[in-house]
Amino acid sequence: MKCKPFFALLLTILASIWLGEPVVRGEEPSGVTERLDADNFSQWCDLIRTRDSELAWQQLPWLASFHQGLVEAARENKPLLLWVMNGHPMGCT
Amino acid sequence: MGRRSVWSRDEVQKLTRHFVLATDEVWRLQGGYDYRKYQAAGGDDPECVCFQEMAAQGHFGAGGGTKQGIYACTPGGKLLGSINSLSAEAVQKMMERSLAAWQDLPAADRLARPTASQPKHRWEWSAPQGGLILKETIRYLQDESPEGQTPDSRFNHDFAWFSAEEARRLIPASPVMGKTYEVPPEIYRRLARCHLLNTAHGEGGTYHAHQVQGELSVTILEVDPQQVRIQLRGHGVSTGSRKKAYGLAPAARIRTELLGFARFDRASGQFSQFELIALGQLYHSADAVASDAADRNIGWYFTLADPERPFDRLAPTHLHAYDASWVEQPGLRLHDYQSTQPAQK
Repeated sequence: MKCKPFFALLLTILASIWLGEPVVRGEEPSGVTERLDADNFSQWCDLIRTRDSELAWQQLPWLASFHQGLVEAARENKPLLLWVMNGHPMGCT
Repeated sequence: MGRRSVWSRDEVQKLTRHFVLATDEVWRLQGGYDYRKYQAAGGDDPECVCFQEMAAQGHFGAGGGTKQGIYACTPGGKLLGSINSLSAEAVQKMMERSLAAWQDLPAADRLARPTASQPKHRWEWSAPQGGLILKETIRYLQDESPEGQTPDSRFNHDFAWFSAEEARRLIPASPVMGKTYEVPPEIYRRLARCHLLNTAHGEGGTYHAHQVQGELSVTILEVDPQQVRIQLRGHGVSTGSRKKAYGLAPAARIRTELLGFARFDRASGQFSQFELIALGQLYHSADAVASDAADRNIGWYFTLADPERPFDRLAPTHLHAYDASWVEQPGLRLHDYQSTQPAQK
């Protein structure tokens, strides 16, 4: 009788390997790690938010779309410098 | 990194005075993975087609794949030069070459205008009037305590939008000081699906609704006829599947806790103050085990966007995935017709 849990575990491991699933499965651990409270809230804000010194590229007079750039380039009779990324360069890239 | 490494160089900044400067999101402009398939599928947004024809002459050439980079062109869309580089020196040389090419152009070419470049659809046009427009900053964290940490030098930004009606649902109809109320689940779901993502160092995929579990509650801290001050508190778990994902995949698992403080102006029906922090623990595996430790810590900070800053009016990166009827979708949805394309890197 004492061997049954061992064999059950062994079967679970073998089945997991066979199915390509993780060896150990379980419930999401209950309880939330409380790292945030009213006392440290401002510290977390200061740590994550950006400072102006980190946003130097935003000081250049960028327009926010290709079309706006073409229109303004025509108005000023200048070439257009277009910076494009996967994700807007002024947003999430 | 290119955002800082290139544009902080003095020589580059001086050269920018000879150009009109514009930025944009490239995936929409290039019509998804392959602009030829976009056009074959009926994609004809003039702004996108104009870019596609120019970019096909640029550093990545014709064909599929990203066209991100820096392009110099005439107001008519004729390419003068292009590059995709994090080297400020290389970008400077491209700008100098492009200026020389501009000077050498016949006047007729300089004065030429594109047939059309007025867009048919832009995501910014869905910005909710009178709604809650939040700016989001995302950074990896070194530790689980803020004490003694220095901010990671790399970060990312995004924006989160809620319509005026959605934002008002954060405040109960008859708020009672000290009482806690559950926030409608769609508010938490939008945050978890489209914003509490592993995007500190680059774009990440969204979660499906069934992949996020969590809750958000509001406690009334102050209430008077003019305003209501609230505390937001929440937690949740999001789990994704990399195997089944097309395009960008979300993190395998993120555990989050949220805390925020906000002030709601009852006369205007808008928030006058809003700060929300979410802390997340990232895991490589979607399967939870009792003893597993987080692979990485991440933090998200949300605050009111500044209406005076043009770039605080950019659309959320994953607005296309919002469960909101007020979001105006384009005639041709890139995610519909290119779902079998290779994963975007």
